[in-house]
Amino acid sequence: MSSQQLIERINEAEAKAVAAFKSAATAEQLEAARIEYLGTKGLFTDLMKALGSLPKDERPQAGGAANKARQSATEAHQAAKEALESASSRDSFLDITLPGRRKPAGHCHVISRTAAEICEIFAKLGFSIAEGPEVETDYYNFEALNFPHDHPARDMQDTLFVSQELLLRTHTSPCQVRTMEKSQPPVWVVVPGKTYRRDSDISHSPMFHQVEGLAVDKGITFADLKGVLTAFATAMFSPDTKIRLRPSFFPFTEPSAEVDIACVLCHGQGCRLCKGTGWLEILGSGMVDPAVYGFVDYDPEKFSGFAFGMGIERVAMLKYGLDDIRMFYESDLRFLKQF
Amino acid sequence: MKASINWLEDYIDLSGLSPREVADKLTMAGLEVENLSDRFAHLNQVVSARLEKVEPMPKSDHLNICQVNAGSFGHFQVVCGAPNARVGLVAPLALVGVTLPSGLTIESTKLRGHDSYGMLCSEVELGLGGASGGIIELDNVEPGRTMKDVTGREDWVMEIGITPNRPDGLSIIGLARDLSALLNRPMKTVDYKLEETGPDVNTLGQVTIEAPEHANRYVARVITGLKIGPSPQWMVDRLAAVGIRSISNVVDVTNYVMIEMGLPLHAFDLDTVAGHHIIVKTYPKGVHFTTLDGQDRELKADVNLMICDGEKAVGLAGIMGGLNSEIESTTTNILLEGAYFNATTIRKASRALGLSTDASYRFERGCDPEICPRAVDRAIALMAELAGGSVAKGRIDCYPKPFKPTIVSFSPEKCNAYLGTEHRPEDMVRVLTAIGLKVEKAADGALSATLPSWRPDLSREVDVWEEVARLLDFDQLPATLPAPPVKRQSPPPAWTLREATRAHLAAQGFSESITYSFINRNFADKLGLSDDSPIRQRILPLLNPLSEEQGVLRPLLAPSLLTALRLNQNQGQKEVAMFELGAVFLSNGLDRQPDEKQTIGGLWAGFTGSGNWIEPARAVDFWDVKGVVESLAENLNLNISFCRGEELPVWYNPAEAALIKLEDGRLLGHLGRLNKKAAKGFGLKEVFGPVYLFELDGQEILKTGFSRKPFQGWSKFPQADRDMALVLDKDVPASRVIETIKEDGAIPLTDVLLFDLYEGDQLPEGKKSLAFRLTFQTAEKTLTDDEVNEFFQTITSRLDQKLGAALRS
Repeated sequence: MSSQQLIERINEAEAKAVAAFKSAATAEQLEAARIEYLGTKGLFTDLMKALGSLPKDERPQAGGAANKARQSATEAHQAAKEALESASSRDSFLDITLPGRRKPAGHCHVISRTAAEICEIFAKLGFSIAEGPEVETDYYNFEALNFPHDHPARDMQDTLFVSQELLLRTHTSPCQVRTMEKSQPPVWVVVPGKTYRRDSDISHSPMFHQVEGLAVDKGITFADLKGVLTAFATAMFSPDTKIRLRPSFFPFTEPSAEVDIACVLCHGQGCRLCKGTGWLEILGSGMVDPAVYGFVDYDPEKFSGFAFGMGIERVAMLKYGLDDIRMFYESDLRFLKQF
Repeated sequence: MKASINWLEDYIDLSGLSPREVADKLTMAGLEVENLSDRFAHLNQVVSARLEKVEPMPKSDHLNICQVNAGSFGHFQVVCGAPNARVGLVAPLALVGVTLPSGLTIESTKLRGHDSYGMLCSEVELGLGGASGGIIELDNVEPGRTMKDVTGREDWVMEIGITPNRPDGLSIIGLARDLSALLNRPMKTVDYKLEETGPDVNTLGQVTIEAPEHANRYVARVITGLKIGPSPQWMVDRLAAVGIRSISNVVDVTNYVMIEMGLPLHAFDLDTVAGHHIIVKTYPKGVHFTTLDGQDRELKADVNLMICDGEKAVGLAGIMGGLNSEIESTTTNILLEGAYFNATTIRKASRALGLSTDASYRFERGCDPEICPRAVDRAIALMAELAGGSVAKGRIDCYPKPFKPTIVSFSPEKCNAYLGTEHRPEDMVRVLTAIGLKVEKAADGALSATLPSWRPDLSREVDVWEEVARLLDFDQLPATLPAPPVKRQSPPPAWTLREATRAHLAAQGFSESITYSFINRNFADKLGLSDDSPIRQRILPLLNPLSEEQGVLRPLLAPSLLTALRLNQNQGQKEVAMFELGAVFLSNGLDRQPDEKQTIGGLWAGFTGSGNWIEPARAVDFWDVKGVVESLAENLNLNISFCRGEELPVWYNPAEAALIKLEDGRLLGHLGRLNKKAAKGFGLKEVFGPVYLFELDGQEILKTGFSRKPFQGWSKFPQADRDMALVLDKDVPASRVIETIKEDGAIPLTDVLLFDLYEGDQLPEGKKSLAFRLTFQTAEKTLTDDEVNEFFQTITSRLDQKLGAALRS
């Protein structure tokens, strides 16, 4: 046999072996094919032996071909063997598409979540949390905040009363006075909590939540108020959120300002949400009116400070795109489970 | 407050500014323009149209069916009833969709079976004038032009939200004054001619103020021989723009000057004023008076300031005139009042009467006492111009305590330091001067500011600083961060408790709900509370609730949770696991603040488990809910126990309910299954499965203090387990067995697990079997079998002695 002929036979044997392994349907058939081709008395052994009969200088070429063919046949056998094995164990495979066992997840209310988020941002800026009673006295809710009796300023907040002197707090601001009564500056607090007004429609709820802020110390300026609120707005919404201060009136701040943020939907271009103005009002603020210091024995010549108050619902509605304030209080699980 | 750009331009040059720019200027100065609109915007949708065919409508005596050609806007069929409709006429056609000044929106309709696409309009219908005789005849106007284009009419009106501190903003001159400062343009003056052709006013009338503390100024003028009639169109238009309907020339003038100058005026028919003598005095409560709207009103305030004559009351001062002195069409002689009434007096009276008018709205915010003579002069001159007559010479002016302006010092440096700005002193002085402050330099160089009479909100230096901030680029304020205090406070314990509880319950699969603090009083009946129940006794009602549904402050969270459950059952929710954290309120009487108790309320109802192929759903049971309470207590490091007792609320089914007590025996709360009666009371459906509730008093937790458990190390030595099956009487509670097992403190017992409970045939009557796994371990050494056996022996003999519990063989 010439080396040429031998190489042809080797290639032929390889093709046959690969085909036999592939076509083996059972382990027994595969084993028989293995013995036939790769066994110690198999075809490849015979061909290897035949190499010896070639002239010395032709052996390396044919030998290389033989080794290669054998190698490839061995791989084909291994692949066929694994395929057969996995096929035989398929019955014990799980249908991994079946739904799993799930522990039901509970949900924190979006108001709690938002309140915590707001307080967290202010905590990083240096504010501590304070709380106060929801049924307040006229004194703390109005009088000490410079709302005189029989003043039209009281009309700004339609009040739910318990008695002549007791009412449901219309804002979290009474806690400003309570906090200042207890300690001397520096006072840096935020006051989250429930507030109440006699008002009910798609954008007003008789109960809602506010976070009040107060910072009183030496040398606090109106520009500091803007800085703190800019830091808040950018942290709460997005780093490029712009804010705008607009003069307004609250009896307990002077100057007073409404604070708008650039519309979260149209980014200031003007849309339905912002009624074409490009701005959304989110909070009221100002420099604490010296008249308030009079109620808590702070020296307005020595100290100055700012205060602000925002509706948590308002912030949450803007952040999550909600349009009906009443949904917060209906306890519909279809709502609660989304947050 | 409504103001038109057109009117403002009498007092300030607004050239070069669009209406939007004017509005933005005001908004950024604190006079928030809430709406800006052109009063004639509708004319963009009204087009000139030629009537090409006019046919009488069958069976109608006046209607015509017209075919009109509106040029590029199209051809339309319109039904029209105007007598002057004829072929060839060009008239304005209101297109379908436009809303006319009357509020009418044009729609395509069928009139007696005939289509009509639009409306041919008269002047009145378009708000263009008073002639309503027929449709407008547009001579020399080709079809297809908008009426906006044809008439060129434009009248921009701003609706401004005026804050209660700014009564000056309730007038055209007040707004113009701010614009003057903002635009750095001078105010204009309006010239008018006042000719006094009558006799001395004092010969015609007399004024006495008997209540100077409530009425500090009363200026009057008299005009005789005038003729009441309609106002000219310019007056009707100006008033219409600010939302006031024209009534008659004299009444219109009083309204006009009120809007322009901010002072409410009142015109009396002089001939109905007895003795021609006006007396300002107070009336007591209870007197009746008929106002000019024909309403009989009982005076209800402590102080009712009245305008009277020699015999009777003729007006509610600052609120509304009386019917008895009203201007009639036959009135010829008028006494015109321009007064300054005390703001609080008017506010109290207006609120007591429940009557708020344009006049009371202004007086209660504080009018300008100094403007009275000017306003009266301006009005009387306008009356003479519009209604003829002769103005008496001079004015009556009672002014018991003339206005003395307040002077404050003003330091530009302090102002900048307060605001954090770097405004130039000359800019500050400029804007302050523009709004009427007189800024002067004393000999020592210090500045002072004299505050104007029309700004009752300014009284201190800080108020002046606000004006500087407001008028000098409020929007350009720098943003700086102040240095925070070095020391911080920890959050209030109630906040921390809520945070910890919320996190734990949410992790247990409960969703947090937040509901109104006020509920319907009938919750007490629904829960079945007895009439003398302490909860019922301490319900705190609201004085002015929005509705009965929100009538009382809740003393419990359960009613809110059950109401929420009902809503979710209606949505078809099979499982509801919810909690609420919040205050409940227990009355301490009406003169003391109530107890506000932080409370943790939970509800688990229906069927738990997803019900999918591997997890069948099952009804929620007592052990589910008890487990939640136990794990919460463990998380808060509270030692609690469960027992039965008298205090168990009535809404539970006593078979499946327990009181929860703290280590020292104080009551922490309760849990259990809602009984059928209460479930029915709250409208819950039985098919939705059982309802379990728990309610814990957060105040008790706060009193006890709660914390994370401190870290504890663990033993290096192995633990030894022993199982123990006991047979004992059925009525021995498991908790007593466990207590007994744990009783000997010397035994190193680290865990007791109750792994089986058996009651049944295998045991004698009245007996049950409890099986425990006891775990022993010490920190010092490995326990030997002998030692563990001895511990086991000690425990079993104690169980035998104390509880008669035998080891099950």
